[in-house]
Amino acid sequence: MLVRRQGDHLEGAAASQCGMGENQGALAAHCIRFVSIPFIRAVPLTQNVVVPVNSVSWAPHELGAILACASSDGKISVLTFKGAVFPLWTTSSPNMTETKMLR
Amino acid sequence: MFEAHAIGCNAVSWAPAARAGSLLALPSTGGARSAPVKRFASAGCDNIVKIWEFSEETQAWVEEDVLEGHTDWVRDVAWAPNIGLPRSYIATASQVRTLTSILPLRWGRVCGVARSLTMTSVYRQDKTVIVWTKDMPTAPWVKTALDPSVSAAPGAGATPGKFPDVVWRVSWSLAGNVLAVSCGDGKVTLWKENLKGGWECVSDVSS
Repeated sequence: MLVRRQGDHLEGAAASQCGMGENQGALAAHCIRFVSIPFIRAVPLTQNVVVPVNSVSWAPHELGAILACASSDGKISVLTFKGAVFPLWTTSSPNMTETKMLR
Repeated sequence: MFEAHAIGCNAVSWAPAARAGSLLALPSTGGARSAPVKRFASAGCDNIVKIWEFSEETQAWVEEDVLEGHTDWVRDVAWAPNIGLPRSYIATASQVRTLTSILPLRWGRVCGVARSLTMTSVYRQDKTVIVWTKDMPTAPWVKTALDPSVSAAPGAGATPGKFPDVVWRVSWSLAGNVLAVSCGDGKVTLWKENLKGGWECVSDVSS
């Protein structure tokens, strides 16, 4: 995994996975292919609980800049890049905890 | 953020944006080439793989399907690229559990007697790779385990359906027809589907 931190920017080559979790909920995600993107410094995954992030994966480009993260507490975060609006990354919806079975 | 798997979630993989079958759909049917679908698969420590889809209606992620077949942690999941053909493929790899499954000593509340809850039944050694296929968007997922014990695969002679060592990662070629499997024995094997729907090891590379 190639990630360099430059202020609030992360840049690097294409990568698909990372796992870390020592710092305060910091999520060093990976990078869009060969471009530098503004990236928020830390995305809290859970409040006051530090869990390792096992996997990150970019959505297909047709869907926009969306990142899915899987963590060791069994939770999945789906983060959507909002551009210049703060916060830069948001979860897709406020009621995402409400999951229900389709079957 | 939402609860996906008990204990832990090991991997996520997005579905191709093109809906399965959208390439062959007639424009006259309307809506066939609709907006790309937001869908991904997740692999967990509860031995199952779940398919999630974003519902624009309720603005929430909905558990669409549950794939059961592994007997141990699912370490990796990879959704094959697809340009819109009807058939979908997902590969999953399972790996034997590590130290985390051995419970530490726990102190009994009565008389302070130490009770050991060390579990020995965890060594089930599920070293399998399963390819899940779905012929049509409405069809169920069908599982096929890769079998390294046949043909000239490196695991020849091993237990049928099992890899010689732990299987860490699975990855599809860009065309979505070749599956690469990385194994703890230091080899990467490449797999292709044959005309009968089985999977054959077509190549192995030593690291």
